[in-house]
Amino acid sequence: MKRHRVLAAALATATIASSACSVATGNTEDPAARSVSYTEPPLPGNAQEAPPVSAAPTTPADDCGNPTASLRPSELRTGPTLDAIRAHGRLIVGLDTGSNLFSFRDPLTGSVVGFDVEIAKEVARDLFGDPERVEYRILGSADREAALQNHTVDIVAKTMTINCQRRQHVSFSTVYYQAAQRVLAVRDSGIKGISDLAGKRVCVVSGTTSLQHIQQMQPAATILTVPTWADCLVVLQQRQVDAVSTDDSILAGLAAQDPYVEVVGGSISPEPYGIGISKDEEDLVRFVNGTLERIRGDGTWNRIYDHWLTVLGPSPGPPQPEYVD
Amino acid sequence: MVAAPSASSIDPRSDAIPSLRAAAGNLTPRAAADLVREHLDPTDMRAFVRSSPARLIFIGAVTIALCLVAGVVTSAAVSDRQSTLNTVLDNTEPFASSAQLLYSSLSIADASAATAFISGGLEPQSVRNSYTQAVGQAAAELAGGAAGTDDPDTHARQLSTGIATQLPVYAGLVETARTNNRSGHPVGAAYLGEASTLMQTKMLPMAEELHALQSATVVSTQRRYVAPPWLAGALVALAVIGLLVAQVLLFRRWRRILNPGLIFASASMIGLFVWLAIAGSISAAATRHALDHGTIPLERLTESRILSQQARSDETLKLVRRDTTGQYDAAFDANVERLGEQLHDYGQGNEGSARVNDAIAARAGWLAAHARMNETLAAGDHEGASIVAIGPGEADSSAQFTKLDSDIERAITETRNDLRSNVSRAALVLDGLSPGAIGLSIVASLWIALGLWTRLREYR
Repeated sequence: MKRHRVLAAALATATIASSACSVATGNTEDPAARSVSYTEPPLPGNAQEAPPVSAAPTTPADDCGNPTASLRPSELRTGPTLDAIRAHGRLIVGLDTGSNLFSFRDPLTGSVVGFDVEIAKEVARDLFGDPERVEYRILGSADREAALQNHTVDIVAKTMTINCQRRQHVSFSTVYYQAAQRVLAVRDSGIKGISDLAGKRVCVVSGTTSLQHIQQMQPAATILTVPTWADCLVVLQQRQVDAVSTDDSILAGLAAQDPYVEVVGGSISPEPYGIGISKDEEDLVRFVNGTLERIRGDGTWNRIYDHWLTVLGPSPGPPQPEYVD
Repeated sequence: MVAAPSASSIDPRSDAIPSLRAAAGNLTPRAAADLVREHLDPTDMRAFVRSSPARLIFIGAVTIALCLVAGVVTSAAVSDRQSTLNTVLDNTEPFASSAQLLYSSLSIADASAATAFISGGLEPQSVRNSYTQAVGQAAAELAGGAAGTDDPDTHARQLSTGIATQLPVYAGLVETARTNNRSGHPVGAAYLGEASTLMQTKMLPMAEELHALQSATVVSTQRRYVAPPWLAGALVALAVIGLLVAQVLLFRRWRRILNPGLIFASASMIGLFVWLAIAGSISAAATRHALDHGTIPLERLTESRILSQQARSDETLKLVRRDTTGQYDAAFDANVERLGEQLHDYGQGNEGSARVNDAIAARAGWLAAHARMNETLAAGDHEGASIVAIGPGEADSSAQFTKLDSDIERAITETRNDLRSNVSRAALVLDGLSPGAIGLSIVASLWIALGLWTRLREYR
C-alpha cells in the first residue's frame, strides 16, 4: 500500500498545484458530486433503435393479385421435396421460442410448444405417421425468408404473414390463422390505440410486417427493434418502451404473462398467417395444404385453438382456404 | 602512480610560511599579490600533494568513500527489492488472484444460470448453488478490492466499479428470469438472454481486462528482480579492490607490510560481498522460480479455467437457444481447442502438473460427452441431449466439466502456493542485509580511519 500512498500523495500535490491554477475559474471538483446514473436497465441483445423512415412512404409491394391463394392439395403423396424430407427422417421446422401461445419453450418441460408447433406436428403426422418426428430450428423473424431460400429448414411455422412482398422470395400454404395487428400497453397509461403512439417509444421485432405498418401508419413514434416478441415484453416491463404493436395473437400471449398490460385499439391491419415453404417446392406446398384441409375438416384445428388460444375468445373457426391451381 | 619523491620535500610549509610572514609587514599591495602568487605556485602545491601525509589522507578518503557508497547503495537496493517483494506478497499478487477469482466467478455464474435454465422451472440444487456461490464470490472479490487501489481515477478501479455496479443488475435479471420461469412464463428465457448479454458483452470483458492488468503488474514486478543486484555487488567488489590497492601502495611506498586497520576493513567488506552474493543470488533465483514456475503457469491455468467456463456456456446456451446457426458450436470448438493447447503446453515438472494431467483426461471425457450430446441433438432428440448436457451421469458433460474445472482450480491453488512461497523466500533471504550493509561499511570505514591514523601519527 506504501506505493499507493506515495502515489496518492503525488496526485494530491498535483491536484493542489492544478487547483491553485484553476481557482480563478472556480473549477474545484468535489469528488462526491460526481454523479453517475445507474437507473437505466440493460437492453436485450441486438436491441436497437430503428432508423426513422424516409418521408416517402415505402413503395407498396408489387400487386400479386390475391397473395393468400395457394396451390390446391393433390392426392399425390410423393415428390422430390417430400422424398428428401422422408429420407432425412424428420421435418425441419423453423420457428422461435419467444412467441407465447404460438411457439415457446414450456418452462415446465423445456420443450417447444404452442399453436404453430401443433400445426407443424400435424404436417409431420401426415408425412411420417408420427407427429413427434419434427426438428426445430430457432429463427429470428428477419431470418425466416433466408432460412427457406437456403433450405436450412423445410417449413417455417412462425406467425408468418402472407403478403406479396414475401411471395416474391418464398411460397406459402393457405391461411391457417387470421390475426390482426393491434397495440399492447400498460394499463392506465392513456394509450388506447395507434393514434396515441405519436412521440412514444414502440417495441417491434425486426423484419416483421408489424414494423412496416407502424412506420407507415404512425411515423411520429420512435421504434425499438428486438430479436423476439418476448424481448418486447422485457423492455415494456423495464419501461424502456411505452407500447408493443403486433398481431393480437402474439400480444395476447404477452398479456397472459403480465396482468398489468392489456391489448388496446382496433385492428391496424389484417394478418393472414401461412406456412412458409421454399419457392419451387410445389409438392410440399400441396402436401401442407392437404394437411391444413384435413385439420379444418376433422376438428383438429378447433381442438388446437381451444387448447392454446381461448384467451382470444371462442374459436372463430378455421379460415377458409383460397386456391389457385 | 607518481614519481618517487625526494626526502627533502617532506614538509615544504616549514620554510615557506616564515618568509611570507616576514615580508608581510611593509609591502605594496602589488608586491603582496606577487608574493601570494609565488607561494601558491603550482609546483609548491604539487609538492604538498606528493607528500606522504597527503597521500595517506587521500587513500583514506577514497577507500572510506568507496566503502560508504557501496554500503549505502547495497542497503538501498536490498531494501527496495525486499519491500517490493513484500508488496508483491501482500498486495500485488493477492489483487491479481482476486481479479482471477472475480473473472472465473462471473464466467461460472453465466454458465450456471444457463445450465439451470435447461432444466426448467425446478433447477437442480447443485446448479443453483454453483450460481449463488459464484455471484457471492464475485461480490466478495469486488468488495475486497480486486482493483488493488482506492484511487477512483485509475483504470483498474474504473473497471471494478463498472463490474460492481452491474453485478446487482445482472443478478436481478437472473432472478426475474427464474421467477417467470417458475410461473410458467416464457418471458423468463428473454430475461435470461438479456442477463447473459449483459454479462458477455459488458461485465466479462471488463473482468478480463482487470485480470490482465493485475497479472501484468505481478509479472513486471518480478521480472525486475530475477537478476541479482549487480550494481551493489559491483560497488562492494570495487571497495574491496580499493582496499587491496591501498595496501599495495602502503607496502610499496613505506615498506609497511600489514596495516591491521585496512585488513579488518577488507575483511568487513569481503564479508559483505559474500553475504550479498549468497543472499542476492538465492533471492534472484527464488524470484525467477516464482516467475517461471508460478506466475507464468498461473496465467496459463487461469486462461484454461476461463476457456473451459466459456466453452460450458457455449454448450448450454446452444441448448437453451436451440441454436442451429453453428455459432455456439464454433465458439465451443475454438475454446476447447485453445484449452487443449494450454493444458498440453503446461509441461511436466511444474507445480500442479499432476492436476493438469487429470484435467487433460477430464477434457477428453467432456469432449466425448459433448460429441454424444451433439449426436443426440442431430437426431432431433432435444430432451436426450439435455440429459447428456446436464444430467447426473458419470460420463456426461456435467460431471466431466465439473471434474475439469475442479482439477484446474486445484492446480491454480497449488501453483499459487508455490509462487507465494518462492516470493516469500526471495524476500526473507534478504532479511538483515540492508542494515548489515550499512553497518559493515561503517565498520570498514572506521577501521580504515584507525589504521591510517596510526600511520599519520608517525609524521608528527
